[in-house]
Amino acid sequence: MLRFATRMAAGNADLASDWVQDALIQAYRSYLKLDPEPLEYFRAWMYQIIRHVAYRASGKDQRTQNVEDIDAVADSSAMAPSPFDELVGNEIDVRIRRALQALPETQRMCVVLVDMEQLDYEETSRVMGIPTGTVRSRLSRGRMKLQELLGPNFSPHQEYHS
Amino acid sequence: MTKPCLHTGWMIHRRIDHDLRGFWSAYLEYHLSGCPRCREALAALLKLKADLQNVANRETPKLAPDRWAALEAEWDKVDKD
Ligand SMILES: [Zn+2]
Repeated sequence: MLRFATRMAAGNADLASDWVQDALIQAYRSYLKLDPEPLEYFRAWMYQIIRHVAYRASGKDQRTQNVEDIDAVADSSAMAPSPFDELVGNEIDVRIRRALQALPETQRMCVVLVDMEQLDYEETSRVMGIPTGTVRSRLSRGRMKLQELLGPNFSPHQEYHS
Repeated sequence: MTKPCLHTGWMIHRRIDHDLRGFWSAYLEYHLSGCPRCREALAALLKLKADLQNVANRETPKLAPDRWAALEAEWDKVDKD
């Protein structure tokens, strides 16, 4: 969860830990109100709260920006070093992270949540607030785009020392 | 990059996420047995997923000790209530 928050916080782990704390408090308050949903979908619910906290903190108003808008806007940080680049110097990791940064936001979030955080479609749908069918289509598009960006001969083992 | 056949693309993505069952699962296995192109696409996607998981596993956010302490205190509070 902290890893996900750090990604949302553009690599700032301290800021991310504040968000995780905020999310925890917020989650606990909702839990006290006996909202039955959280316990059943606990993991998705926690990620969703972190995402909301992160969006709010970074001034992105989700209500005015629907999924299509977000995807339509070319990511200005495309191919820029990702937040984790300085964390691990591994060249392959850096390439994969840069390719991730080049994806439209919804595609990237679907790939991050399903392939990296290992949430299932239903959980991802809850976190993102989009239907599972949309999760599946953004995910497959995101993966195909990543393959394209990483190139046909991309193989971490072969390129490790190049 | 090898693209799978048009009609099997969605099945391959759901298969690597362990989300393909029943008829479609049986159909895809049958199709894969006779389609090198889809087998190649499946292998490439499995590898991409594994690579992404490896990258994620190597990402441990660095946190100042006092931040860790604050986080743990927060968890403790939630635990006790
Ligand atoms: Zn095929």
